[in-house]
Parts: sequence; structure tokens; C-alpha cells
Amino acid sequence: MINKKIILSKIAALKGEEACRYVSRAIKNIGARINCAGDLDQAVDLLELLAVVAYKAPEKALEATASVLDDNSLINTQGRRSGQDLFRTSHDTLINKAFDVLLALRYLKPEEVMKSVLLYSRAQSESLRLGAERVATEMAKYDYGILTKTNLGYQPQRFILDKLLNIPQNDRIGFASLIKVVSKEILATSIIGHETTGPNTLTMYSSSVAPTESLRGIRMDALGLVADMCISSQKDAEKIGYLNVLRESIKEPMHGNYGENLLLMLEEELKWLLGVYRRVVFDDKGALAVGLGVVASMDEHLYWLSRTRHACGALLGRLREDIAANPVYALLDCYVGGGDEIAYGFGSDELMSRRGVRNDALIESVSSENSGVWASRFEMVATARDVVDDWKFTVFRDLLRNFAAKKPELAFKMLADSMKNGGSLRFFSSSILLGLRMSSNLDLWDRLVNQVEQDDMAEMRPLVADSLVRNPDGQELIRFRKEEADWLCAVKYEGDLRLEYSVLRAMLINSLDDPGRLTSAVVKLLKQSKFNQYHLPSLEASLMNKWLDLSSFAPKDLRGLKKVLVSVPSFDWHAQGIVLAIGKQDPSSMLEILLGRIKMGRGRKRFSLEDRYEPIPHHFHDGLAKALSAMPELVSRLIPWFEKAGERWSPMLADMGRLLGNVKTMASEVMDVLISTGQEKGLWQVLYMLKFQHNEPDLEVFIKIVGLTDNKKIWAECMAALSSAGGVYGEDGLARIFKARAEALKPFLGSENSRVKTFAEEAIKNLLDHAERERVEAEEERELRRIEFEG
Amino acid sequence: MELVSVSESFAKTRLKYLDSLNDFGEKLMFYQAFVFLLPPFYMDERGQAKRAMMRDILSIDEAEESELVSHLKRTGRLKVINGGLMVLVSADDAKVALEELWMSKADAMSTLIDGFLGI
Repeated sequence: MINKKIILSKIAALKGEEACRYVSRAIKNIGARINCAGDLDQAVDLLELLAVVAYKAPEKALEATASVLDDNSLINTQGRRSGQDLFRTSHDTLINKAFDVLLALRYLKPEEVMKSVLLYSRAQSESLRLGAERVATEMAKYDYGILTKTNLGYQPQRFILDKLLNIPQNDRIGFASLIKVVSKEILATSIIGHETTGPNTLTMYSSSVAPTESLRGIRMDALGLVADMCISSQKDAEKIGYLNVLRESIKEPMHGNYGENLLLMLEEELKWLLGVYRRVVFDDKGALAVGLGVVASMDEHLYWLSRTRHACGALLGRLREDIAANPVYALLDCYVGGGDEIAYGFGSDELMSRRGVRNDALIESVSSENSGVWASRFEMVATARDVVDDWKFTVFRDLLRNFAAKKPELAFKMLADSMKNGGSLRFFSSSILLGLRMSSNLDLWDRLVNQVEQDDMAEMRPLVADSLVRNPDGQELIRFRKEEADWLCAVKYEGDLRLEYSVLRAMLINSLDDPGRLTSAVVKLLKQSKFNQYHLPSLEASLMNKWLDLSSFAPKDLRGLKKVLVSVPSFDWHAQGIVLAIGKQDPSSMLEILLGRIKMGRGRKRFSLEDRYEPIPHHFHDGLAKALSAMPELVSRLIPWFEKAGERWSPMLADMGRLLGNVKTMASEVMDVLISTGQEKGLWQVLYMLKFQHNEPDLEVFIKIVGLTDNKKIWAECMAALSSAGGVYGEDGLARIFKARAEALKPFLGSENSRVKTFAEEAIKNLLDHAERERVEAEEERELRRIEFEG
Repeated sequence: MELVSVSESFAKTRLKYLDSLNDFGEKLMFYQAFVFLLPPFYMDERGQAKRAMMRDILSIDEAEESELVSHLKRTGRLKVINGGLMVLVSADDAKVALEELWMSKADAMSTLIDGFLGI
């Protein structure tokens, strides 16, 4: 095998004129070959070669790269260079390799590289855009090697920033993503690097930037650029993206030592940034200029800053006060979490008590006269779901639920209006519907759900199902009615995972109220769903919580559930937990399901990504293994299975081996029975099964087998099993294992059985040979690493 | 990585330049340079294809190759790990040999390397 990259890089490292001339000519030739490459793979290989030596003739390397990136017909024409199914993947690889060449030239030809970066960062093709951003990010990075081993200093950062600043203001929006990733790097304060300092040594370095005048200038320009983009951006999500870059910029370095100077620089920048924040949040008249989500994101940042940056405390506090004083934001701050949790501690008694008092007062204050005002306020809070994380709405959900429980008519009207007008409050309908159930305003629940069905509001159905909670917060049980069961059983899932999840959960939680009907519906859903694997955790949890009683399952439903457990692609922890629960009632069902899976695995594609089926998992449930071991009739039930199975290797035999490997007592008993027959069929079956047990080979079993037969193929199989190993540690790990096995075989040299004696002699010799070979390979590996390190 | 293969045109061109390579010293330098350029280089069956190509390029037989290897070992430039992996004692020596070869036989070296790289 010849490694072209090694050859070319070694020649490129020579200093002689002739060698340099050769490399320059080679780069030109590679460029020419790329242009007429027969397929993508060839072009990719050539680009890899080019990236290794591009630094020796940058202009020619750039020309060759441009021909790949500029060739629109190549990029857009499928199959021109390859008819493979994986064309797109290969083409992305080609583009990435071309950018690797640009990456290699980033410090040598920054002007040209940056020209390409700016061009392709606006390309339609995502792979081109990401490639361009990757090059720009690397260029803007504070590289430890560059900073310590060259005189470039912060020039690369200054250069790339100037290029971004030179983009006309009106065009910058088109470079938003590039500006964000580059600014993030430029505004970093940590420097991290690594270097191979020996054949077996990788040294990591960490440090911080030095707050020189030039760096301060670079940082202020970068901050200004991001701030401008943030203020001029029209979308809240984009503003939050820029705010995140600013937030990161004033963080202290994560590693390395840094002094007061750096902290002072960050304080100064923070002071300036607080002014920017004010301009982002408020318009000239002091009204909110951005959506509530943006303000929430900023306020959270300001809170954390106020805990650590005392030098700007007054300025910071004033801005927070002004933000908090805004009545609209105050609503969000109170009811979308964040501020309260931070101030009083998450889940603290004081927090809960304050919140309870505030909620009660608020709910009390809502009346039919002012309900319109409150409806619009609730809508405003609900709208923030577009940019605020869902978990932060817990407080708001609690409020809505209590509001619906205490003022059902008003809550009903607000939700009905929101549903009618397509408002955001409808996405919180589960809380309002639950509140209506809690207060026994079931007619209002029915009316809203009827409306959902009448208008076929598909997105609302999971929320309706979510409202069918049994006892929220451990309070009094909510009565589950026939009408609700009717609705659950009538829902059409149509492959909607979210809806299936909510409906299944509601059925499971309430199954004790209407066991026969709901358990049937649960099994029906699991049988029909293509996502049934994802639903098993809910089923297992409901068994553990005793929401579901397997004894209430009709025989037909239990059979259906077993079929589901046989058919799910992965026999994961949850599936095994359910089987164990079934086994507690009927132990034979465990074996029935496992044997069913082994049988089903016979015809399925194991290695297909789309249709993968793993009959017996690598990680086996301890409880299930124990329960199987405790089955007295287990061995007698398994032996007929082996009688029917052939002696040739089959996936079924492999899976049986994996199963027995997980249930050790069962394995030894079954194998003893098979070996004791002395028939070769049984011996082969044992050997094939042992291959799939990831344990240290049991020498006794092999000795028993070879003691019964002269069949050399069986001997060879035993020998191969002794010469294989799973995980080992250390370079000489295999050598140690083989030596240990050879040692363990020595007592059999004195065996009275001549077969055993001969086998032991051969196996010991084999194992010691293997051990020696492993030792030599380990030594060679060490030398190869030295060669690679020395170049 | 690709299998060792030498095109017909490359073989012809190579002969044109290297048939005159008779000097033992030059062959030693070539051999050393190839061990440097084409790692890993094995003396046992793993290196058969690569060494056959080397012998073809240098127009030598197995006995001559053995003599070259023995000489390089004797002079402390090469060592063989457990009879398998061939390792240069000093990569710098090999670089000097390669530089010299390039100065004295630039065309031949270019042709050879083009052949290796397939360009």
C-alpha cells in the first residue's frame, strides 16, 4: 500500500531547489487532474493530496480549488461525475475537501481565501455555506501555535474583521450567519491549543488573550458590528442570536491565568454593552422595541451579570429596574419563570408561597369587565413561546389551570376566542381544560373538545389528551368519564407521534377507571403505531406506578401486547421491563416472547439501518435474567428447540447463544445436556452459541467437546474460539490474555484422555505463537508511531 | 491509499532513466530513500508487493536487495524489528540521501514520484 499524502508531504519538506520545483509542478498537475477527474472519489483523493502541499504553491492550489467550487454545472448536475446512490454525500465531501485546501492557505493567501469565503457564505448550497464558515471560523480563531510561533499576533483577526466591516451596511444581513460565527471567535477570551510533543505525547495548552491596544480595538469593532446587526435585525430570534454572541463576548477566560488588565477590559466593554442593550430593548420613547422573548433572554443575562460584575452594578441595576418597570414585561417575568426562580431559589418555600399569593390575587382581580384586557395579556405571554424555552412556562401553565378552576366561564371564553382567532393561548389549552376538569366544569370541557373536533383542529388534540390527568400535584382524583374514554378511543392518530404519545399516556393514567376498554385501546394503539418502540417507556412507567394492572388485560389483549413485544425492533430496557412484569404473572410468557423474537429475527435484516431488528440485546435486564434462571422447566422447554434447529450456523442459533450468555445458569445446563449427547450436531450448536457470548471462553466446555470427538473441524473451531478476545487494555493486552489461557490449559497436558492431551498441546503452542505475534505487532506499532512523529 | 501499481508508460520511462543505475552507492541511497518515503516497509510477506516494485525500479534481484539491506543494517542506517518492520535509524540521513538523489537524478526522481502519485 502506498500513501500518496505521506510521499508528497515528505518531498514537500525537502529544501532542495529541484524538489521544490517538482512539488510546484505536481500541484499544477494535480489541479489539471482534478478538472478532468473521472469520478468524485478521484477528485476527492486529488484534493486531499493538494491540501497537504498547497502551502508550497498557493496560487496554483487556489486555481485548482476555484475550479471545483466555481463549477456550477458540476455542483448542480447530478451524476456528471458519479452515478452512485450516495452522490450527494460524495459531493458534499468534495466541497469540504476543496475548503480544506483553502483552510491550509488561510494565513498565506488571506485575501484570496477571504474572497472565496465571502462568495460562498451566501451560496444556495448548504455545504458551500458551511464550508465557507468553517474556513472563516478557523481563520478568526486565536490559534495557540500561530500566536506563539509566528509574528502574526492578532493580524488574522484584524484582517477578517475588516473584511466584514467593509461589507456595505445594507448587504450585511446576507452575511448574518458568517458575521455571527466569526464574531464569536474574535470575541473569545480563551486560547486553547495542542501539540504532538512526542511519539506518544499530546500536550494541551490553555491561555487567555492579552488585552493589548490592538486587541481592544479589534474587540470593540467586533462588538460594534454585532450590536449594529442586533439593533437593525427585524426578527426576535435573530436578535437573540446576536445577544448570545454579545453574552459570550464578556465572559472571563475559561482556562489559564489572566490578570486585572483583562478584567478591566471586560468591565469597560460591559459598560458599553449596557448602553447597547438599552437601545435594543427600548425605543426613543421608552417603550419596548422588541418582543418579550428578547427582553426575557437579556434580563436573564443581566441577572447573572449582576451577581458577578459588581463594578457595573449601578448601571446594570438601573437597566434591570427599567426593564422590570415595563408592565408588559413584568407579566412575562412573573409568569414565565426566570426571575422568580433566580431570586428565591428553584422550588423554594418562599417562592411557592409568594407565587401562590400573587396568583390568587391576580385570579381574584379578573372579572367579566376586565377579562378582555387579561385575555390580551395572556395572549401576549403565550406568544413568547416562539422564542422562550417551553419549560419556563410551567408557572404560566399553573396560573392558567388555577384560573380555569376558579373562574371557569372566563377561562372558557378566553380559550374559545383564542381557538377561533388562531391565538397563541390555544397552545396552553391543556392547562385550561385541566382546570375545568378539576373544578368539575365538565360541560365546558365537552364544549371546547366538541369545538376541536368540529373544526378538526389537529394540533389541539394532543393538548386535549394532556388535560386528562388523573391527579395533578397529588391532589384529589379527578373523575374520568365515559365521554372522555369515548373521545380517547375515537381519536385517529394518522402517524402523529405527539398525538399518539399524549393519547397513550392519558389512557394509561386512567386505565384503572375503565380497565377493559382502555387496556384494549392501549394494545390497539401499540399494534397500529409505527412508533411503538417509543411508547414502551410510558407503558413500563405506568406498570411501575401501578396505573396499569396486567391482570385486568383480556387474554386477547395480553396476546396482542406480547406480539408487540416480539415485533419491536429493539428489545431495549423498557421492553425487557414490561416482559419481566408479564413474567411475574405468567413466567412461561417470558420465554414465549424471547423465543418469538429469536424466530422473528430469522428473516429480518440485522444490518440495515432502516429495518434493523435486534432479537436479543447486548444489555440484558438483570431482573429478567434472574427470573428466567428461576424457571424450573426452562431447560426441558429449550431442548426441543435445539432438536428442531439444524447443526449449521444460523442467526437463530446466534441469538440463542446471546440469550444463554445472559442467563449463565441456564447456559451451562443447556450446554451440558447438548454436549452429553455426544452427537456432533449438539457440539456444533454449543460452539456456534459460544461465539455470541461475550465472556471469557470457558475452557472446561472446550475440553469436554474435544474430549468427545476427533472431528478436526470442531477442534479448529475450539482453537479459533480460544484465540479470540473481546476488549483488552494496553498494547500487549492480547498477548497477556493468550499467555494466561495457555497457562490455564497446562493441567490438561496430563489428561488421561488422549484427545484432550493432544488438543491441550496444540492449543498451548498456538496461543503462545499468537502471544508472540501480538508482542511483535505492539513493538511495530510503537516504531510506526515514532516514524510518523519524526516525519 | 491504493494498491501498488505502476502503469506501462511509467515503467518504460523509468527504465530509460534507471537502466544506467549501476553504482552500488546510488542504489543504497535509493533504497534508503524509498524506505523513508513509503512507510511502513516490511521485510516479511507483508512487504512483498512493495519490495518487488522496488526491485523492479532498481533493476535488482532478491540477492542484490538482501545485500543492500545488509549493508544498510551493518552501517547503522537501518534496523529490522523482529524480522518484519524496516525502520530507519535516522530520518535526517534519509532526507539527505533524497536531496542528493534529486540533485543528481531530478528527471528520474520526478518520473518515479509522478508514478507513485498517479499524476
